[in-house]
Amino acid sequence: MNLLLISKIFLIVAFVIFSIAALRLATHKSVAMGIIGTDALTVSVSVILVALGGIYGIGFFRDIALALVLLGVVGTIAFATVIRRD
Amino acid sequence: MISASIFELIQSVLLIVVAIITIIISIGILRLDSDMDNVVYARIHILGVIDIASVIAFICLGDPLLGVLYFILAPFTAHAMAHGYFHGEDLKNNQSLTNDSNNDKKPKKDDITKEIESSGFYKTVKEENSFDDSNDKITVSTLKIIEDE
Repeated sequence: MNLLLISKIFLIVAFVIFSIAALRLATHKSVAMGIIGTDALTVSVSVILVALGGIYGIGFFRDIALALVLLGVVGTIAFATVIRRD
Repeated sequence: MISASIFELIQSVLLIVVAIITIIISIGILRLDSDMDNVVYARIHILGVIDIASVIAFICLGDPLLGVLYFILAPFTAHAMAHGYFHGEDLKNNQSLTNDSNNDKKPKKDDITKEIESSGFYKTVKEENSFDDSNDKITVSTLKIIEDE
């Protein structure tokens, strides 16, 4: 069995655990914790998508991950600007 | 049988290190006490660690464009979150926010009396009550006499 495949599967499992932790973070009381949890969830899902695309050879998973990273950053900054309430 | 070249070996070791760091972070970020001071900033700091771990993972998974892009964008998000929390919700550290919230919740007594006097409502109510006060006292006293009998 390929060592790289084992490490990719291990990485996916680790980031799935982190996604659950990020979901728990997003359900805290304050709005800022919701933003932090959502940002963490965006990153973890992107890494999972890139890893799955590498394992199964699905090309458009990378495009989805790229769009997710870009839109996640834009959404986080926009929401943070809203809660700043200047 | 495990077979790998040097390049794949380095890739695999880095991915395993990233996975271990991610598991440690996911346990630690939930075990952090929510009643602690400045816990939001601590969580943003932990999120910075996972950002760099994901950048390493992106590069090792053969997607360096995504890694470099996220390496540039991650500090902006962390700063935006901390800045937004400080100016929007941080009641412990932001002094101007606590002053605003106190003024909103508890207006001063002088302001309330000035508003009532300027509206003209206070004078009319006072005149009506002053005329009716004597009648109220008489009725109360007659009731007491009836009870005694």
